[in-house]
Amino acid sequence: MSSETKKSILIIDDSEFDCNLLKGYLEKKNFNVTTIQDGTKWSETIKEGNFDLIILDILMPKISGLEVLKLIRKEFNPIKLPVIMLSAMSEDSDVVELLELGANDYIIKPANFKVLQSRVNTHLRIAELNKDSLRKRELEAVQAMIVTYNHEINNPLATAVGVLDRIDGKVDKSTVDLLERSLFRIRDIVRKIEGVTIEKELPIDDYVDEVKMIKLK
Amino acid sequence: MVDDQKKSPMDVDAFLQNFQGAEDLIEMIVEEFIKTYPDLVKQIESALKDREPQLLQISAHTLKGAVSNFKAGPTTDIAFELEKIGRSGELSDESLDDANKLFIQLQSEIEKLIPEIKKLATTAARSA
Repeated sequence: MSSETKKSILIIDDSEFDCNLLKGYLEKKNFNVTTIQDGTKWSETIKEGNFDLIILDILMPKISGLEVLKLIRKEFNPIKLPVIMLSAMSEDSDVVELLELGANDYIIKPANFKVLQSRVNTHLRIAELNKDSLRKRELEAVQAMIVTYNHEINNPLATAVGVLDRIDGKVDKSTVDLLERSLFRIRDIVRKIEGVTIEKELPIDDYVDEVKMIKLK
Repeated sequence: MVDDQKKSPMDVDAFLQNFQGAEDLIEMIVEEFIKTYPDLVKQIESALKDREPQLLQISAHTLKGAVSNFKAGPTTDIAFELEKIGRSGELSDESLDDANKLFIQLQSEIEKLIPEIKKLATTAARSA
């Protein structure tokens, strides 16, 4: 893995020992790793870094990992930011609760390093595939918009051309107004198309959480 | 009460298996543990002295997490028992008495564990 493609992982665990151990292992596996022991600082840390995945401990003194998970999920969906919980729990009902709250996966402590690495890689790969899929859908959306706008251009343009034919040397004010309105409409639509082509990346949030995929202006 | 009399302090094979391919981390985690555990033990002691179940739960849980990385079964089990007492939310005279006995067992197990993990660190450093 080259330095450009290194993925960034944030570990949130009140245990400095566990943080350092996991950080040491994951850095050996070529990840960029940041650790914080104070779960309440998750928000500012995430804003400062551009993390691809979070490893989150459950039992912490100031705030529980489940609370942090709930707060993370208010801002980041599981595709955008995968979260793997570090759990000492082993009951099925506890695991179900974790997953229902939006955890992508969980690892029972003490972490088996190979399992940890495998799950981290799996969720990073899933996130990457989802991003690819979103990019394709984004492209399809742009194409659909272009088709729609082209159609919208054709109608006023046809009107403008028809009016121009009718002018034929004798220009009255209402005819000029009609022509002007039609041409302004064309100009507006062309600007919209410009806007779409300038914006290289549409916000991913527009595609998820049941938000309508395209907002036609 | 945890029966720890006949158990070895850690499962060396299981520990080494987990660190296969990452042997150079062994020395680091042993050093980290030796640096970290006295504070955790002190926190447990304070929690018992001040009858603070939540502190007992968290500090015992953290110690349990750390020693479980060494596959230190007896120490992990004792720390877990202390964590459970803390999780119950109150330290009655009876549960405090149990917890104090467990705490003595815990210190004794850690004393047995430390030389074992130091040996592992030395071996790992030599073969690095």
